[in-house]
Amino acid sequence: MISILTTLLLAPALQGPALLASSALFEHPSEAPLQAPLQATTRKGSQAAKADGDAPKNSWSVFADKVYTSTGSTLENALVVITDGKISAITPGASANDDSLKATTLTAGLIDASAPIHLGFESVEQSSEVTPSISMEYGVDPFDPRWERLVRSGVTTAFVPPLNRNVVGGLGILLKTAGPETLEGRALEGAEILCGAIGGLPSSGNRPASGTPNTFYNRRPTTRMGVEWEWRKALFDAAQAPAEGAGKDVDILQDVLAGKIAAFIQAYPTQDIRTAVFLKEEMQREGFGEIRLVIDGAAEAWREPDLLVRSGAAVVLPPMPGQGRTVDQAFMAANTAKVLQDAGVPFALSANDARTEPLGIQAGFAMRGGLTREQALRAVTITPAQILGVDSRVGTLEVGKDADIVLWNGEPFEVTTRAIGVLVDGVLVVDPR
Amino acid sequence: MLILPILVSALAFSAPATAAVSPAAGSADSFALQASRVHVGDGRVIENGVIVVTDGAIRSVGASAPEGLSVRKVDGEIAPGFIAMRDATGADSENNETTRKFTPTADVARAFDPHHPAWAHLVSEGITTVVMTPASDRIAGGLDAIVSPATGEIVKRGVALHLGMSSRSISNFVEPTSYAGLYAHLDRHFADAADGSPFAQARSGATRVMMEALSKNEVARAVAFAKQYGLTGAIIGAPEAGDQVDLLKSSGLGVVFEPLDAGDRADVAESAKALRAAGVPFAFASDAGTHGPAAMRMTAATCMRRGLDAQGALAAMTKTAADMLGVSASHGTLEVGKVADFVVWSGAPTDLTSRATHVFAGGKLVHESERSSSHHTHR
Amino acid sequence: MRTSYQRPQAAIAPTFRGAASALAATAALAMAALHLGGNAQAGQEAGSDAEPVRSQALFLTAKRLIVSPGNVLENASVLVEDGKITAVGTDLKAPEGAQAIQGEVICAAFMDPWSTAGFDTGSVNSRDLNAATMATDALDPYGEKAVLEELAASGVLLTRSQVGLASDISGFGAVLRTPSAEVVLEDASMSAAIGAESPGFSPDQFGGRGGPQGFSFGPQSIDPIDRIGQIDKLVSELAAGQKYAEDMAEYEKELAEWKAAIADKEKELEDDFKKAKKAREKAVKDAEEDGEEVKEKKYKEDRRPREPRYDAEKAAFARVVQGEVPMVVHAERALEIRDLLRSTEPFKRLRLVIAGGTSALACKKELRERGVTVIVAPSPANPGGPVGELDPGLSLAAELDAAGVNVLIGTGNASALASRDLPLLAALAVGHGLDRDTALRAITSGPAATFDVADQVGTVKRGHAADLLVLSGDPLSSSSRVLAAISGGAVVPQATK
Repeated sequence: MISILTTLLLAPALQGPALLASSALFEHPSEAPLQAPLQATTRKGSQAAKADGDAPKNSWSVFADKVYTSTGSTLENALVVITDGKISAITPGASANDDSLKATTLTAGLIDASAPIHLGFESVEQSSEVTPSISMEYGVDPFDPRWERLVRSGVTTAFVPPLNRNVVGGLGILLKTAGPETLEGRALEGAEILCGAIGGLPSSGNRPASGTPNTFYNRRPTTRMGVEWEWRKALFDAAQAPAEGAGKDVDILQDVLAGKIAAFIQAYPTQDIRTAVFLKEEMQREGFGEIRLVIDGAAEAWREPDLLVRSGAAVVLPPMPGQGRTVDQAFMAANTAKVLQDAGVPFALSANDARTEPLGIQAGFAMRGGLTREQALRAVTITPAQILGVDSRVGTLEVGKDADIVLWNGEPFEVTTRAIGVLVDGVLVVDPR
Repeated sequence: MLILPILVSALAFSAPATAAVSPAAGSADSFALQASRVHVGDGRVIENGVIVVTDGAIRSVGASAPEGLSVRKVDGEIAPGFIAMRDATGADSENNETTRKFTPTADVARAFDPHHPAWAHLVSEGITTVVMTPASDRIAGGLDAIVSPATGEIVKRGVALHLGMSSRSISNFVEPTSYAGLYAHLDRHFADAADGSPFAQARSGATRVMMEALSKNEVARAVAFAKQYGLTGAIIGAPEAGDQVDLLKSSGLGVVFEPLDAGDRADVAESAKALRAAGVPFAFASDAGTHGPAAMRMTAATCMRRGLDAQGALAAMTKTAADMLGVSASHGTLEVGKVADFVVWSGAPTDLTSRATHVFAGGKLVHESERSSSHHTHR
Repeated sequence: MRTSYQRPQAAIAPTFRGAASALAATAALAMAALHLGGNAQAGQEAGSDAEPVRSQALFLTAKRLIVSPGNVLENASVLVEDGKITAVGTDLKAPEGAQAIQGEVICAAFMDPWSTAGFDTGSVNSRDLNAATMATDALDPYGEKAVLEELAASGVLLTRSQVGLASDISGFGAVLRTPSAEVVLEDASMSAAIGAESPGFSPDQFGGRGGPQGFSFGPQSIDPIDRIGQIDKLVSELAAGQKYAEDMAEYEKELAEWKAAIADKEKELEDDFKKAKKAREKAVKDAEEDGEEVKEKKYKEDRRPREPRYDAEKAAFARVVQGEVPMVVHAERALEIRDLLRSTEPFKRLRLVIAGGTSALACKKELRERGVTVIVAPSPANPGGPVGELDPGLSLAAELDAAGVNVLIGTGNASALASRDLPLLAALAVGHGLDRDTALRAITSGPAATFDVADQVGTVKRGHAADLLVLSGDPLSSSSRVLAAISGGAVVPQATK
């Protein structure tokens, strides 16, 4: 198969006559589809073992009046012991050691299931609108100062999708928010997730060609219908393609149809949420496969919760907007989370890049909308961990899990409470002392 | 630039030198200069040293000249001509094939205009060797070339494959628009490189690479890429290289610092110090086309005012640069047999208060300062 | 004297300069406290309610003490107490408790005569300014700390800063003590620019190297006629200022005469009191009989002279035209410099300073004869390098100096960080022919003299403010480092290595 990227390079518009004449000078890209070269080594990379001896201290004990475990239980006067980056013991009714870190309450490190700490336009390959094999491992900067802001707000794990300018943008990346300044050192092995979008944004840069096309933006989609068409075409083509040797892009889409790779689709208003669900159901109906659907930014999920229940989709809610309106003018009601909770739709909260109201405050907003503290806590810890396929490592305070812990100076998610300390993999990255 | 070297040297040097040449000197094209100091370029400094040039090459450097050859004394210090690691002066965008991000076999020497008047300004700032490069916003824009702006000679073609791996090579209007796309293209070119192509040459180590990378993220990725394909050469940019010393040292790559613009943070000063301390080789680009001819010296001086030693600054503009380009057999130091590219400075060669009073390229006097004789003392 | 024609409020409040200084001193105090953890110099003008913070005395010793360029003391010391230099000499003893700092060379802090340090980009790029604009109104003592640190680390502790680089007329620039953003003199200069596009223009537009670089917006090119028009406008502003000054002088003269006349008349009336009283009583009586109102006698002295209407811009130019405040005009091209020199000829007391002056050599004779100072911005960041006879490139400073023109070296860049390069630019000028002492003078005592602060800064003299550098070598040598930077008597911590 000739990838769209490659054919574009060979498009006549880019070949002036002078260049054709001297084309021997230039190497034409071969017709192999694009491959993101470091995927195998970094996306699935595990924690980099620091070979040198001066690795940061990752064994502590933490004492708190109250420990919210995200497993349904709340422990009083508990001592959490951390050994080599993992939780090795949790003892309620204990007392603090002399060298224990102390806090009023503890929760598991928060997980933001949709944190755009990416390189903006440089994170998305816009020369084509369907780029499944573009990986976000090239779209994030481990030196980005926003990571520190995120970790200071109590977020210890973040999923980063590409900028929402492509219909199928590529594979997102799941990272710890602190640790070595390398992707290998930060990456978490979780579910593989293909990200894309439905709605106004993926078509916003495109325009119809009048006369001679002079840019790759002269293309479909320019409408919502076109966006849906691109999705369907990509999935149909993948379903029809041979199982082997059709290229990385097709492989990924086939894995999406097989349910091995989750589809993380941004859809804010009702019409787009419907499209996402219809897409899943169409593939099901045609017998192409069972898509594991996550709807990101589902601001209007409160309007038709039954649709979501029927689809089996999980939902990531956007941060609560000041005036109710989010992307694509979708209206997010204050009780959106409560509606999903009552309907039984699995959902996670997200907080953009923590510039304004961080994830803890988003949980507070959800509580104002009717959730209990325990329910809100789950929506920023264990539920996103399950959606992202990393619940065996993070998302709860349990023995054996990564020591990602937030130390609060009061009840979590209250506006008067803040994260005074944060541990990531047992390393104290925000010091409460 | 070919600025009438014969004429000038006839006036200033050749006449006395040739007049006194004895048959023992062997060549009519020999001359000897004695300066208060001769900086060999490898750290050695010879007080009252004498440099002897024959047929455009250095015949000897030491305390004295061969018998019979008259020695002309010059007031100042002699040092190797400076090597600028990136410049496209006078190329007038001829080094930028804007229709393509990949033109790997393009020979940048084709963009070298030996008669461009702007070269004279570089020479007057003591620069005798320049690496012409493709524009920074290409991805594989071609092969770097070493040129001698004073003599107009192309010293070496195809000295390095130039790779743009920074945000400069990414725009919203041409593929690729993302780092992922940029690396996917690069990866494909290197993975599928046909024998003899610049990419294959770079993989085999036969050709160096010059990788443009600015932010720490870009530098880390470029280093990883070089490691993946076994590439050798240097990173161009990396103003914060001082924070990545271990990474760079283990990579074996060198660093080329860009000239500072007025208003740029002087991160490069701290980085130069850190690299010097760690023994990571570094050099400087001049970019005179956009920065003016004195920008390279000034950037080096900025580093010195913040603590880089003068020897380190001199090495960066001479020996280290030559090593990085693989031309240390002919350039970078004042040693027997090397090309006689050297400068007489009115003071220390790296000091901005010093003036290049005489510049020699290929043994010929190619620049003489109008004020080489005296200072103004009117006040 | 720099006190006439202040804004009207000036009569009520302390003078503006006083007020602003007190304000700035307070701000400086806050900054100093921030930087130094309280061990800071309070400044002499701090309000009485502010608790003065006494700084520790400093005792600086070096092998060479450059009192002023060319005037060097060997193995000498400087004593700094309460922000001032209290002793300079070769036989000083360190008082007990003084902090001792040693180095190779001590010299006055570098002063950039053409900077934007202390001001935000918006103010620097603003085009909506006028002659009455006070740059210090935009001064932000809490501005970008990293920038000020880099300046201090390079030894540039004083600047003559202005806003509105691209504005035709941008008002009063100030001399600042940059590490603390303290105002040394708030009305140090009036600034104007010919070819308001200049800070971003392409040098190619006039076939040579450009002036300040750093931003480019607005009209990129205006033609010579427009630029000459700008000079005409500037000259008519000067003329209006002249007229205003004359009207003011006339009014003050008339007012004095009137007051004298009133006094005379009062005396006359007093002397003749009885007669006058009788005459008035008669007049009152007569009027009553006739059923008319009394007609008071009119005196010509009743008419008070009319004050000219206050005009802030004209008042500002009145100060300029009388030579109270130097006028810095950014002009690069020979045509403009020549026209500027010709058309300002009638203003005999005007203190003209040309900033940029790329092609100033074309007018070197007039510049010398008129005593015009040129601030050369010997930027190495000019594409193409020098071209032609009228553009000597980095040799400009040397050649102007050789022609007897008073030369200063500045940076003139929209980025305040550019001032960091000042000592390097001076060194480059030396490398291109300028005498070493002259180059040092061009960034120390020269700017101080041009902008009327030579009695406070620019040389190492007893009684001067302690704005000093301790260096590891010659001030202009590339291998010298700033060992300690002392601003207003306090050691700037980040700059000290």
